[in-house]
Amino acid sequence: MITIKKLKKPMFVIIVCSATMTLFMNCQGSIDGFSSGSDSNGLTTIQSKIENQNYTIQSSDQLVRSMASVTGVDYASTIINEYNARKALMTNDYSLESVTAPMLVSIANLGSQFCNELIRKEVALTTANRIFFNQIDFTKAVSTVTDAQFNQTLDILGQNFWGRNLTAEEKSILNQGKLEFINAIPTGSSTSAAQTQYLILSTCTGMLAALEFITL
Amino acid sequence: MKTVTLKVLLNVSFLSVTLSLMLSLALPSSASAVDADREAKRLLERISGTKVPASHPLLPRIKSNINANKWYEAAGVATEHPDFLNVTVKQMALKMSTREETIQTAFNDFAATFIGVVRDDRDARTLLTGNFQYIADVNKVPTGIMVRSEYNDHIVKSNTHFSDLENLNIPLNEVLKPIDGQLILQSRTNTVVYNPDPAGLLTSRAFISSHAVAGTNRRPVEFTFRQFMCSPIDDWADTTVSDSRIGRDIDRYPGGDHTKFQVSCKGCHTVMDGFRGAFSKWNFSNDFISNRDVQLNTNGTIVGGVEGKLNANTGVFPNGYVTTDNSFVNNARGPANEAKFGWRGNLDPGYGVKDFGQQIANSSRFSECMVKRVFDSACRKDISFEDKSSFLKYYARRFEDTGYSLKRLYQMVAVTEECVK
Repeated sequence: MITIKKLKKPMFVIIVCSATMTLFMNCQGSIDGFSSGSDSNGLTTIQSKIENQNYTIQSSDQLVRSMASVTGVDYASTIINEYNARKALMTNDYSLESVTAPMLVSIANLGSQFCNELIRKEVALTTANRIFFNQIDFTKAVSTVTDAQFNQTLDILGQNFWGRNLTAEEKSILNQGKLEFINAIPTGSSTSAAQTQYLILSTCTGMLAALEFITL
Repeated sequence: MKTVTLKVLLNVSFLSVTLSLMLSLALPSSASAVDADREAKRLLERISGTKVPASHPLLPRIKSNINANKWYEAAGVATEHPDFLNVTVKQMALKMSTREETIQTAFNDFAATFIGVVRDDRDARTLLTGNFQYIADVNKVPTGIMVRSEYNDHIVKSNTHFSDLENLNIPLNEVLKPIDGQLILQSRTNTVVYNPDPAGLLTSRAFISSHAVAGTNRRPVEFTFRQFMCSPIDDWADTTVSDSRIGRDIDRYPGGDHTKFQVSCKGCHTVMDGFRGAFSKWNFSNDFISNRDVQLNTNGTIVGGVEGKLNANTGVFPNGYVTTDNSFVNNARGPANEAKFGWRGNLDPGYGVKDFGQQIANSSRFSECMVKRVFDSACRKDISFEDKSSFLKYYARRFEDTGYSLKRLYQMVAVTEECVK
C-alpha cells in the first residue's frame, strides 16, 4: 500500500507547493523554505507559456465529458457519484486564476475513477485487443514493467489523451514518477501484481489531471 | 481484477496531482507551422468544448476540409459533435439564464430552448419573440433514467423536469423537442394555459423567476440588455431623454439634491422605466411565473391590470409615472444610445414583452451581441466592443445574412484569426 507519508518527499512537496502557488494562485511572494530556486527552474516559464497561449480551464461538465471521450469509458455509477460530489469545486468561469488546490485534487479524483474503469475494462480483454495497455502484463509484479513498455504506454496515453506523443521531458517526469512509486512500495508488497495496476492508475490519472488535458 | 479501494484511489490521486503538476511544467510551446491533424483536433475541441481522442471519427472530415482550405466547412463538421450542443451552447445559455451568470446554474427551460433553437437552426431572433419552448421527449430518454415530466408539477411549478435532464447519460442534443405555444399556470384552476404574451426566453420560467421575483420589474429590462445587447446598465445611461416614464418610487431629490437625480439617477431610469411597462403583468411567486391576463378572480373573471409592484412606494414622488397597462416607450434612442443600439423597424407603440423582444431582436446591437456571446463561448476569451467593434459589426452582418443562424455563426467565428491565435 502506498502511504501519503512516503510520497511526501521534499522535491514533490516543493513542486506541489510552488507550482500550485505560482501557477494558479498568482502568488509571487516568498514562502519560507520554498521560494529559493523554484522560480528560476521553470515555473516562470510555464506561467509565461500559459499567458501567451490563452488557456482556459475546463468546467466540471467539460472535464467529465472529455475524460469519457478520450478513455472511451461509460458513465459508471462510481464516476457519476464522484462527479456529483466534486463538481461544485470545479471552475465556474473557465479562468485559470480560479484554479485552487481542492479543484486539482477533485480533478485527479475524477480522473482516477475514469482510469480505474479503463484499466478494469482493458484487463478483461486479451492483450492484443487492448487499446491503451497492450504493453502491460497486469498479472505480474510492477518490477517487470520495462522502461520500453512503460514509455510505449505513455505514448499511447499521450496520443489518446493529449493528441500527441510525449516529449522527452514529460517522459522523464513520468519515469521518475514510476521510480518514486516503486521505491515507495512497502516491503512485502513489491511482488504484488496489484502494484502494477496502481502504477498505471497513477500514471493515467496524472496525465488526465495535467494542464495539457484540463485546459482548452 | 481486484476492486481498487477508496484509500488506494486517494493515495493515487495525491501522486497523480504531483505528476500532473510536474507535467504541466513541461508543457511544450505551441507548434508554429500549421499541422492539419493538430488544427483539426483543436477546432473540434474548440467547438465541442471537450477534449477528443486522436481517433475521433469526425477528425478525418475536418482535416480534409482544412487541407482544402475550407475552414468554414471544417467548422460545420465540428458542430456535428454532440457536445457542441451539450456543452458549448448549453454553458453559454446557462450563463445568460440567471442573475448569477454562472455555468454552474442548474439546467433549465431557458437553456433547453436555447439549445433547441441552435440545433434546429431557427432564426435567433425567435429567442426573444418565439411562442415555443423545448422540453424532453421522454421516449428518447435512455431506459432506466427517470425524467419527471408532469407539466404542472415538473415544468411549470418547478425546474424538476430540466434538472432531471442533467444526468450525464441523457443526450440533450437528441432528446429535446419543440412545443408550439408557451404554457403557463392559471393558479386558481391549477391548469396550464397558453401564455398571452410569449416572448421566447424572456418569458421562460428561468428568466422570469430570476428577474421578476419581488422587486419592481426593472431587472428584466436590465438583464435583457445585459444578456442580449451585451450592454450593462451603466452603458446606456442617458440623462438627455424624457423622464416622464420614471415611476413614483424613485426619489427626485435624493439626499435633498435634485441635481443628483438629474445627472445620475435619471440616466438609467429613463431607459429602464421606459421599457419596464412591458413586464408589468409578469411576476414570479409560489414557484411559478404568472401573467395577470390569464389569472382569475374568485368570480372567474380575468384579473388583468398590472402587478402592484409597478406602482409601489407611491409617496416617494407622487407625481411620478403611474403604470396602468403593459405599454412601454423606447427611451434608448437618445443621442447617447441611438447609434450604439441600431434600432430598426417600428418602435412605437410597444405593448408587452413580445413587442419589447422584437425591438431588441431587430436591433443591430443584438446581432453584434450574439457574435460576442458566440466568440466568448467558442474561443473562451472575452472580446470587447471597445477593442473589436469592427470585428463584431462585420460578423453581425454576416450572421444576419445567414438568417440569424447561431450554428453558422459558430462556424464563422470559431475559425477566425482572433479566435485561433
